[in-house]
Amino acid sequence: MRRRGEARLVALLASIGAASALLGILAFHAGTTAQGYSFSSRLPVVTPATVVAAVGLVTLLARSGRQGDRGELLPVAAACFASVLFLTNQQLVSGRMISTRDWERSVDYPLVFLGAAMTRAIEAVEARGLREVALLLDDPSSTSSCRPVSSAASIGRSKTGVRSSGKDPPLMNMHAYLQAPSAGGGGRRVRGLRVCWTPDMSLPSTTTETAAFHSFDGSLVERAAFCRPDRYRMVEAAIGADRVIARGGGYSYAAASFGGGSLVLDMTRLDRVLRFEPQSRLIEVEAGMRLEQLLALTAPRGLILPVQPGYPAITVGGCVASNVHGKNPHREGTFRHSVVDLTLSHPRLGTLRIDRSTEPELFELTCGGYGLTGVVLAATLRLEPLLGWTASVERIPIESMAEGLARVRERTEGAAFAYTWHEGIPSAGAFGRGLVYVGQIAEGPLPRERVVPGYRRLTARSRARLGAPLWGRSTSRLLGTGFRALEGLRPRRSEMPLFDALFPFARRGEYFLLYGRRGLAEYQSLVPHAAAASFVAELEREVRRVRPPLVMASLKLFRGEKRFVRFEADGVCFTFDLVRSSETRAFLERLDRITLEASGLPHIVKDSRLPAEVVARSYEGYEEFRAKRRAHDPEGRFRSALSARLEL
Amino acid sequence: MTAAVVGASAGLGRALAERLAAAGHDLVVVSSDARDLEALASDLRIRHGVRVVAVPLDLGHEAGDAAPLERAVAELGGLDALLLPVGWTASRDEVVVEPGVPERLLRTNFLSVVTLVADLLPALRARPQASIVGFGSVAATRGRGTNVVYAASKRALQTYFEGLRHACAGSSVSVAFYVLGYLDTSLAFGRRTLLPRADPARLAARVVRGLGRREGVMYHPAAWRLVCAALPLVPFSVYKRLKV
Repeated sequence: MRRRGEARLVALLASIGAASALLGILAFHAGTTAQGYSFSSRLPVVTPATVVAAVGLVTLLARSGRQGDRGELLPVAAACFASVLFLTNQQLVSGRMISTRDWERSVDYPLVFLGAAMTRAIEAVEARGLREVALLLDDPSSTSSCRPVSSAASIGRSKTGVRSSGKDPPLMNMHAYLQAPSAGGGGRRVRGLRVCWTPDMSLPSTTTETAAFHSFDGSLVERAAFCRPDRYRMVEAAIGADRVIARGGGYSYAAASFGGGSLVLDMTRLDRVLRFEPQSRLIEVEAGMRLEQLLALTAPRGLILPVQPGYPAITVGGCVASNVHGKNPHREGTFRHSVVDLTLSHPRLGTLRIDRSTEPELFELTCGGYGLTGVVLAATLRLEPLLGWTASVERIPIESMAEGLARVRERTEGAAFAYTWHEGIPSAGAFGRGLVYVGQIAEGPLPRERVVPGYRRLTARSRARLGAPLWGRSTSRLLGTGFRALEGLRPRRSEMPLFDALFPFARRGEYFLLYGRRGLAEYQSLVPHAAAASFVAELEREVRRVRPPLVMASLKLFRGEKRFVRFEADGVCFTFDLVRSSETRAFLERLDRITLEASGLPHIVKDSRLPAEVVARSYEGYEEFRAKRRAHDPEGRFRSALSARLEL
Repeated sequence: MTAAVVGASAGLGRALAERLAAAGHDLVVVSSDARDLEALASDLRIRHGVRVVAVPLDLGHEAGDAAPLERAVAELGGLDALLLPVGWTASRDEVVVEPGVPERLLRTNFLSVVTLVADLLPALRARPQASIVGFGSVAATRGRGTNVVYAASKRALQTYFEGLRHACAGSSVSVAFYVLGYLDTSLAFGRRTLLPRADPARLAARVVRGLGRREGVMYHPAAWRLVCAALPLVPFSVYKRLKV
């Protein structure tokens, strides 16, 4: 809703601006009558602008007539076009004409442009309506009576997106998938989108609301019931639902925290510190605590969580469920290495406190278990000493990805972090020109207050607020060259607050924003050391052949132990960010293949497209995970879009 | 300063407790959710380094044994502010009710407050300056076919606070009463609300700022003052048609 409110505000300001410009120009022309800008005439005028305006107006009127659409932007766009038609020919009424050429340039063209932009925005709202698709349900249990709403625009504007003719509607879960779901419910294709729904499910006596949940990559939007427990007993009541999944910050690319017909448990209100022992470097926090809160608490006391994934608003529960890694997984491992024990709530087993000695299997299953073993309520984490609050970062220019790999291998040992950034679009001679970043934490004073600077927090929903993506092949090339040039101007070694080094995108959220509503695709591939060089060569061949809109690539070293479906092994971790398009899909399928050939692991929470078959072939522990998780949760109560797709 | 927050485990109570602890005040926190209360108490101690005593008390069922509360106050060496953001709504609160629900509503929203104020008033009077803050609801402005007993209990509470203020006038105890619109807490979650829900943290900041300074009846969000002034003027023949 807020986004549409903003659009309306922008349109209002723009039209006020246009109107004042119009008045100003009119006044100017009135004042310069003597110079021949203005003269007596009643002749009608046809110019390119009036033709375009007439076409635009007819299009808009036809649209609103056809669909009964009364969107907020539509009248404003129509007014832009109409004012061009009327003002250019106002001499028919007033008898006083203004030089057509000047008028055309200074008034008509901006107005026509504005009108066209708004028409485009209206179409974007329609497209969004299709994605947040709703179905008119006469009887939720019968799929035959489900039908797609005819006017996409009316869905886009409707507040809830869900309507029912039933008197006291039972809870309905409807999903708009961009890809076919694997199980349950019915399905239908609407203008290229697959729309599917699951039948009504029973809920415990938990108060719920419905909302549209977005995956961070923008590929999946689903309307689902959610609740927001702020007491333990509310969590216990909610997990009595047939299907349920916990949600933290909601930053997973692959819809790990909603979907599959589950009731979503928003855990962010459970964010209390339960225990803090600075001497033994242990802290116990609830699952909804965000990394920034944890950092603000521990950094002034000279302690820090060693594994920090890339965004400060990620929650501890999410870190456990995805077994995330930080900037230097070669040194500090993955998140589970920092977890001492977990408090897990399960409807059948009650609330359990598990660690490596009491419940080793369940502990390993839960760390990197994508929330499918129960709801993580709290975690005890091991911290490490923090020596200072300044990161000293060295930038080393590199000419190819292979060179980057060699540099990272040289420098990772003994550095706080070492990773590369490569431009995505290859030029004639070079593939993967870029920079290596090697960071050290400089000893110095600890932060007193304002550990977390002000930044505008991006959510999966707000990330998608731009209608059209800015990134494309040419802009990503421009970005690559520009960024490299800018970084080249900076000194080779510079210092920055640790917060910015840990979370480079917290204050550069625009990077994600500019992928627009259609979204981005991220792919992460963990390749054994021996296969890394051939992986890079194969990658270059594919990039040159498929020519995907690859915005950037990055690599770092990894150390870990393969087990179950967690993203962890010894090797090199490659990351790719792409604009979502048809070539991207083809390229990602090639990446699946070359990752499999290199015996690598594709990252499950980064890619919302990753097929179950690829996961089953690349993760040796896939079947074991499935079997053990079935034994633990035979009803399959914990379920998300991710688990449904991967048949976990 | 030492403050007691009754109903502190979640929502507005937690926001008030956090705000008071952030300002460096020692706290007595009271709630029926013993586990959440313990979690909140440890959170406030660790984050803000203040003394916090947790007193689990089921306000909905028993008249309230004030002894543990008085012990907690004694432990912290007196009491300067008593904040009572207690409230409970039943999912079905209509004219025809389930047995036990009206009693629980009246006990939680009204009787518990009356009892606690009576118990703690001597401790508050012993201080050079003290305050009591109650929290009502805009739902009490005019009765409706839903939330019937809840609205009635909040109306009773508002009248009680008027009486309390009258009784305490001229003494060291100042009495404030906030009439609340929708807040973004579990109480309003899942309900269709007429106006957007206000952030409890902002209200908590306002209440803590006003401690000992502001008296009488306040509205939050302030726009409700107009609505609450206008609503009683609507003739019943029109009001009965309003289904908000």
